[in-house]
Amino acid sequence: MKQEKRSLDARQVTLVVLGFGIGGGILTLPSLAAKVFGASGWLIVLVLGLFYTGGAWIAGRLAERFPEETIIEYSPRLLGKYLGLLFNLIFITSFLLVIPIEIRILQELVNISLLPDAPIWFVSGSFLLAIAYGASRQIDQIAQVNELLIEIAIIVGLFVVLLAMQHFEPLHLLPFFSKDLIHPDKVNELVGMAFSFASFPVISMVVPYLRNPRQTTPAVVKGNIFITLVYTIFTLIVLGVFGYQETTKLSWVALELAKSINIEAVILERLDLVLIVSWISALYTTALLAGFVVSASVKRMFKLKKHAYVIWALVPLVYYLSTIFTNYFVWTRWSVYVAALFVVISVFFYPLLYLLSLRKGNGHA
Amino acid sequence: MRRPVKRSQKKKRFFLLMLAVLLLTAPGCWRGRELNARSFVTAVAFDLPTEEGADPDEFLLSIQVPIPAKMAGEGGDQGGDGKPFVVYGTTTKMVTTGIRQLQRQLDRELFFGHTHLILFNVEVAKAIGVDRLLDYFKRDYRVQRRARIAVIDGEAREILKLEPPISQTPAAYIENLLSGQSASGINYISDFGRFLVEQGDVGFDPVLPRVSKGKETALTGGGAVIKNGKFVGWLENNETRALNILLNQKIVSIYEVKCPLHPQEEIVVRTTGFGSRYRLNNQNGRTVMQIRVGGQFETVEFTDQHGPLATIQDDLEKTVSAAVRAEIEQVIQKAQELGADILGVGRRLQALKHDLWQAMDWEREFPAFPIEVEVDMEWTMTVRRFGG
Repeated sequence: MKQEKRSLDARQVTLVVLGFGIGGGILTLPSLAAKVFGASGWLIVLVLGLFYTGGAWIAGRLAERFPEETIIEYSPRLLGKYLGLLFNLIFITSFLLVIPIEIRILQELVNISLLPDAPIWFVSGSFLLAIAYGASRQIDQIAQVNELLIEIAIIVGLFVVLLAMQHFEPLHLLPFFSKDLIHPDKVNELVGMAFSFASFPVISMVVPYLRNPRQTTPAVVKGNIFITLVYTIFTLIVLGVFGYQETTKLSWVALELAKSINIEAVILERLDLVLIVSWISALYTTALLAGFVVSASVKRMFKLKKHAYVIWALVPLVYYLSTIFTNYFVWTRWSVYVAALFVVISVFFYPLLYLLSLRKGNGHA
Repeated sequence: MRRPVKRSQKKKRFFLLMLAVLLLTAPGCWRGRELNARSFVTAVAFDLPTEEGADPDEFLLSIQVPIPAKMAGEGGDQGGDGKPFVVYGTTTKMVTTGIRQLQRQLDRELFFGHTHLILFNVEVAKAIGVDRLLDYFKRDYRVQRRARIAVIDGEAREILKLEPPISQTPAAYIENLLSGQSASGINYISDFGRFLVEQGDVGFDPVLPRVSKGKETALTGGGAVIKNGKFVGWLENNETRALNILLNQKIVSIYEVKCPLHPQEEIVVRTTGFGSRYRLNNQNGRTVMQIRVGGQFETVEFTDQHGPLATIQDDLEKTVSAAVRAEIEQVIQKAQELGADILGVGRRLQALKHDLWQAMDWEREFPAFPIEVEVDMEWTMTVRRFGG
């Protein structure tokens, strides 16, 4: 195995986890949570987040055992040729499908607010080219871009949430876990929420670039805890401001939250537009990192020379996929499928791989 | 030696191509519309059709569009009878169809992103319903959640035609009247977003501000009670003030009370710092909502020769407390008579005593639900002058 250039520090890895995890999912997450758990939706976000943080710990520990390799290389050794191949295909497919979903979310956001008549080829096409160009670069450059963009998005997002506190009504958060407000029949929405949390598998592709691989677990766990806190606070504020009834009726709650803010003394009257512009950065980092993971995985699987060839070759396919997500209902259904794949990876494969690595003891750590 | 040069040239070309693509997309424009190709709708009004034998499902949709040249004081000949705006109207069953009909008269695209006011005539609010007519605006992302909504005691269209007495835009004039800046406390301060949230809340019926047409100006004060999306009754000015106190709206207002020393004389007090605390108590097997209201006041005018006196403090505090309590009890009685829980008692029950709430038929039980009020007003003196 060729030694990779180790250029990433732990902070960058944490931000990579954040960059992939914080994307389009957060814009719709409170609605999903309210549909399943009513006024206590924020609590299920916290519980799910902590659950996936456990997954992040396993992923971190697993990655630390193979600091020179990515999961694409060691999974066939641990799982066997065929199961390993199946895992690799699921892994690549799940990351690949994230890109057209994020593109579709961007298209909807742009059409709803900024450019109502802008066609898909223009908005999605230019966004996809920017993703492909970014993902074709080296990981250190990707990490630097991610670092800048995700910080902008998070700061603006937190600013909006803070200002929305002016409409917060604590009564909206009650009753606490009332049976009649919990809808277990909408469990598919619960699976869909995994789309927002399962960002830790990205670590399995960047560990060979980490300067100190022993920092992998703390970095990825820190990232997941931060995501959990951001999502929980955001859902809590949304439910407190709108109440669960109104929240379930809104498709893009984050934008409505920004629209509800009244700061007459400030020139930024339309905070929703500020949020959209900055959130495009968050969509970009998610798609960019997904693009890198897919191209790097395929490169390693087929022992290709450059991952850039892969991402450019995938552009037509990704564009086609983004066009078949014709409306909100279609892309949310697909996001549930992708989330289901992430659940399989996180809940089944990662613990299995970790246990097998312990048993076989063929790690390097 | 030649190969690296070629590769670097290729890279440069690719970089330039990417730069060109980014330059083309960076302005973020697509099918851009010039400002002068748009008509900004600043206010919308709904009335019942004036024609006889009109379909009961139809309504008169009116829009107010400013004339930029006249607003800038340039005059011009663009209609509006010298006014800086023009009002268009059409009869329709659906808002979207109405907008299309109005669009046929205008060479510019109607744009609702700057709509600050949505007004409903009371008869339309009663017959068709506010909620039904707002459906289009709920779904149009451009419409602001901060737009003001009001129910008009009279023709809503007439309000759109009013010119502001002091120079400002007509919609801004009504918008300011409906905001809390008048500090009278008798306006119910709400907006589109708040209405949607209150409409969605379980155990809560929303209220919208009332506007009527005065001789030459618009008059505000009072509220329109909305139940199941439709108008069910008015709140008078003092009832609206009491509701604002109960809903912790941080109002400032004035009360005229009898002088404790000379009952034929009056004292005007300025009240502020209201706070209402709710408690669900069990009394003899019955759940009772107890509301404790606190606040401060200061004396601002006396009809008698004496000014603020230390000797009247206790009695004056009791008198002011009684006056505030009387208004609060009046609004509670009105709400129960209308069968509309504008106080949010049901919302508290649903949140804090959920099992009890589930066992109740709130529609049936609210009119007789026991609500007790205690008011404690404190005289916070800022005395500038003793005596008359």
